[in-house]
Amino acid sequence: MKNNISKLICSTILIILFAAVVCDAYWKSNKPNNATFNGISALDNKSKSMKLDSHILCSNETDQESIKVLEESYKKLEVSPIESRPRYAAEIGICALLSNDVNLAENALDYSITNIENITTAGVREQKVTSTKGSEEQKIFKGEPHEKVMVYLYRGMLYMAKGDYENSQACFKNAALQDALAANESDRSNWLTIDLLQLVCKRLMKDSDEKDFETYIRQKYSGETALIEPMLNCLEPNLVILVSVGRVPEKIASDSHGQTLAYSNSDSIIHTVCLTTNQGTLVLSETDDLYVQATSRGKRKMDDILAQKANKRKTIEAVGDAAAAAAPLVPGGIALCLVKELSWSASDGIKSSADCRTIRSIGQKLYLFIGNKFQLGQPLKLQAINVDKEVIAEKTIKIDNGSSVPTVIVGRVPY
Amino acid sequence: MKNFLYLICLLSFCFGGCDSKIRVENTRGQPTLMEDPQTTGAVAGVGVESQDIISITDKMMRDILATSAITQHPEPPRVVIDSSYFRNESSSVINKNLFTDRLRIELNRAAAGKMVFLARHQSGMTENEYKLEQEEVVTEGTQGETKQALGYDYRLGGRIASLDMVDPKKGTMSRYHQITFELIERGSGVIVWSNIYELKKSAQDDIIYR
Repeated sequence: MKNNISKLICSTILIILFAAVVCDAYWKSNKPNNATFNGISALDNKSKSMKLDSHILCSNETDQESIKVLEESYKKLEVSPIESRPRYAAEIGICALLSNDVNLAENALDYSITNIENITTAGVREQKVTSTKGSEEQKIFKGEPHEKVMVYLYRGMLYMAKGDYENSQACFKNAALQDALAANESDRSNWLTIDLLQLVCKRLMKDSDEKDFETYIRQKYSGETALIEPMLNCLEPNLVILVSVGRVPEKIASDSHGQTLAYSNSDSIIHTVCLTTNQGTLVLSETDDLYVQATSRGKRKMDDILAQKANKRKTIEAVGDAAAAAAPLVPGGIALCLVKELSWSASDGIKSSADCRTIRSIGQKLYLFIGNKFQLGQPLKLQAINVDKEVIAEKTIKIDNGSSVPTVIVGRVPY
Repeated sequence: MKNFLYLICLLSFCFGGCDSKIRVENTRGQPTLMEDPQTTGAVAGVGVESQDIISITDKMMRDILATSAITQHPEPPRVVIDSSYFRNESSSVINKNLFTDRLRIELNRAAAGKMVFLARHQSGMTENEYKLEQEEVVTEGTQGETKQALGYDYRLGGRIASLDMVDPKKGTMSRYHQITFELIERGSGVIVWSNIYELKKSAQDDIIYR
């Protein structure tokens, strides 16, 4: 009788323990933050069918529907998690720019840029991130180099559209600097889009070293002369069109414990972006591929820290696995099973996954056109075409030829 | 044996309970803090900041006031200080008016009538008023008929340039700024005063961002 009671007590305790472990695993699962962030969730993955989402910056044409959502989202920025605010600000800023809400785009992108430029030294948060209990997602988001470049790029486009060519050039210079820390020298500051836009700024400012910079671009991108020649030969640029195509390279926490940051390449169905004018069809040059830029930056220091955490996890798990293997063979095997559960629980407590937060609005490939609007006539039709020469998205654009500042058009095709 | 099992179960509960997580960092935030603009603030990078602008404009102001070619005229010279001919060629995004407004205002206060400053940056204001008076939409002011805008004797020009260096191995960034100011005589183009200000900053982000 006594024996039965003790067996019953042991079984009950084991069941309760099992339930506790299951509950523990459930609570450890990643739950989305409860702050209402309808703007981002509404815009994420939302695509406009068959319309090339583009606007002339600073014109009267705006996307009011999106702007309402974005403004609401921006108001809620201060109640969102502090570690993700710069990312949300960048998303809102880029979406606002694509909707032609220039003021909101400026404020939101400046918020993100202030965070990028702020030099962060080791504080409580940073120490926690590198500790075994902290995860990389707890760090305040600054973005990987390709994301920082895009934030500066779009901010520079806004300055250019407003006629502030000096600050526009400063943004493009900063964009180039974000890519200056790549592991291989040939991969440093190699964004053709940035260099061409910087040349446009120099020409608009009538800078004395504009010719030298043109020569520098010709030498640096000597293998792509056919691609860039028409843009380099445009000495009086007053029309700039930038279209981003495809989905941003997705970040993946790869390897056994997610300790290595990798990217997945989702090929866009768009093969060409064209501009149809009275004088014929001009093809926009594909100037940059964000997947190539993202994967060529080299290894991060954080990858080493995450690898050390992953090694600790492997050691702890090995103890647990050994205990589990020995459980059927020795008396008190139940205790060894519990040791295994404890080991795995302790291993799960060490956060070794790479940070997969990403700015989704930036797309994968960039297509650029630099020209003179007076030579092209009106109207202009911007088209995104697939490999079978089918038009996937298009938009007719009417340009104000009376404006003294250059016409800057920014577009996005998320397919 | 039983006691050992009970101990293991107790430890399991403890470990399970200990690993409870705080989903959102419950920081209280930071109340509004008044910072001295002459010192490096809580948010800092390698670009031009408030303490640099204050330091540069103070130095330029003292130097201009000490230049007898400008301040020792029998009649106070007319000077235009605005950002029209002050170029930013650096990689720092700057509102140039921060420099020129501060310089003009501090000089105006300190010059004590030795120089007269013209508000060319507000020229639309005076032109519109003059036009309204000519059209007899408004009357003249209490000081008599609206005066015609004055020509200047000297105008400020300048440039902000920068040089960036990065160390890819250490992730260190360094930026050198060179800020030049010149007062140029109208007509002749003679530079009657010039000065240069240099600053260099370097910084390295925390390892989690490299």
